[in-house]
Amino acid sequence: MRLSPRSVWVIAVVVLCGLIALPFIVPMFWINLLTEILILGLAGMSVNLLLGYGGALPFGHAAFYAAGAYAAAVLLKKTALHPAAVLIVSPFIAMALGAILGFLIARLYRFYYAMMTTAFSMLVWTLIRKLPSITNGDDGITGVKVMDALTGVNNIYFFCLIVVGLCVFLLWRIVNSPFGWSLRAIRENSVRTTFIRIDVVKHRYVAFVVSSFFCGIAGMLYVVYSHGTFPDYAYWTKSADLVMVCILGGMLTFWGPIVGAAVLTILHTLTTSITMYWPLVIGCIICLVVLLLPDGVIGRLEREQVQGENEIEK
Amino acid sequence: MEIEISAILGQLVDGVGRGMIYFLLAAGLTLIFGVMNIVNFAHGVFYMLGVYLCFIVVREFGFGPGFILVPLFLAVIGAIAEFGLFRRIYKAEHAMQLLLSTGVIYIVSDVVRLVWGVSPLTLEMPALLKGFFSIHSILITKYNVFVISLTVLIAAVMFFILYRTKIGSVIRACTVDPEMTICAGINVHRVFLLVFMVGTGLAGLAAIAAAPMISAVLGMDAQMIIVAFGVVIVGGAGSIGGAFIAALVIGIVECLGILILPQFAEAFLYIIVVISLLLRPSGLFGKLAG
Repeated sequence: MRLSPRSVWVIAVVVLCGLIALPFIVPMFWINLLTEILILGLAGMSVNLLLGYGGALPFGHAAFYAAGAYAAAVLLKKTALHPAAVLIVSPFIAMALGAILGFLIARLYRFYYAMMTTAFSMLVWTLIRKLPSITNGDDGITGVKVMDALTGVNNIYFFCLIVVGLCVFLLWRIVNSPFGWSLRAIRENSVRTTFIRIDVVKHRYVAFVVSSFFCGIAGMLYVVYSHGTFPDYAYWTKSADLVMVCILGGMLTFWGPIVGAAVLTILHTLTTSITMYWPLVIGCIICLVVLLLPDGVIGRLEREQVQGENEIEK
Repeated sequence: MEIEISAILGQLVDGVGRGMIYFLLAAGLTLIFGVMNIVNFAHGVFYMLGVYLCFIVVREFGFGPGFILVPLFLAVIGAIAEFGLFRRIYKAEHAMQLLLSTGVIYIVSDVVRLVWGVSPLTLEMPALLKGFFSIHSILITKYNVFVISLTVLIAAVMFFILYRTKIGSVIRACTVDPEMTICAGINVHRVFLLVFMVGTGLAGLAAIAAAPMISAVLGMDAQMIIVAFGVVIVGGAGSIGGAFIAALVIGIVECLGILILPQFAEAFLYIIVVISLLLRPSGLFGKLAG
């Protein structure tokens, strides 16, 4: 399957028009599904900045997702701040958390990096549950009304589409900037990268903070979408979901996380409507993906494209 | 803040008992991680399976035989998992291994839900081990004493095997340098299979030891795997001695923490892990794996 840059643009425009037109064509159920995919995809992309481009294993991003969500929910419900201000501020609160954790992990690698992020996110989870005066504890926060303009399935969908689109654009610019290429270099060989006078620790730290910011946006969006938040958003299984989404779609590609999010969300919805045993099905699928499709869905397609190009060159 | 000495000592003993269970669980994990360098997040769910299995095994065969049967059964399951799944990802990234483990977790959790349902189950404490010892007004449960003695015995056996037998030195060689071990003519794949089986069997032992003290509930694996990995990190990957000390420390700190800050007792584990990773990422006695 060969794709020239021109055809990529055509596909992109078609997809965009489709996304905008969809609310007027398909039933509400699918729009809600798409909104969830967008949010999960954004969270996945934030993780993939570190996982695919940075070569690290961030296993605690649920903390930032939950931080963004709880910041939004708590501020909306308990203060009289203007909703727009709340939505803007929430990701920064997640980013503050990321700035702290970034210090802790900057010099750790692989498994130890992963465990530090996990331990930290579990701490956040514990704090959320044990400070009910702020967070409502185990009950979570529900019935969060954002603003009148953001009620109704279609409005929420368009809002998420715009925000996620903006974030994707920003991430695209980041990933293709010198900073992004330095990250890739660090992924390939961090020691050699120091030889070419790139401050590895600083790059990893900045990438982490940026990643936590976008993950916080995803959390905030989820509150807009579902009008509530729960402590389990910070549990390590949520972080595992985010990593899974990246790998499913292809962690070495830019669009992988969105594809992975789509696959996971659609599978989840389809499977739960047929059988109760959704975890069994998804477990088998995950195992199959790891064993047969280690590059994820897009990775597989890209490999075919490269192979196609190689054959033509012969 | 008035806390009686007897309360502190009582909690201390409880902490030791709890630490012993953590050790049994983490010992298997640290072996698997240290020898094969794979991140097996599914270890917790094997433990959960073991706890649920206790109900059938104890009912059919009694509590005593359970101590042999449950670990044995779990070792077999471990063998199947290693042969069918984990064997293929030894060379893969840790991210892939984590993902595969997550798949296994989903599968096994759902099987447990299928077979045993969603309500929590509790196992009756065997009559022989019910009751307390009372020393200077400190209450120590008989079962606690049993668990502590059993685990110390198991730990001693493990030490003996690892440091005084040939198979032990082979295992340690794989921890240090698998490639050279292959060059020395050892069938490393068979060693890996053995280690995986032993590791999972130990999880089974932890399961039956813990079963009378806890209730079996879905989702218990998620909590325990974090504890297990915490012990592995603090103690050092591949180090049984490190796991022993780390498990003890964590168990005691948790139980003492209940006296001081009951609400945040569970946070102590995470704080310990964070501090340990900051000060000494390789853990007490471990090599920096990966």
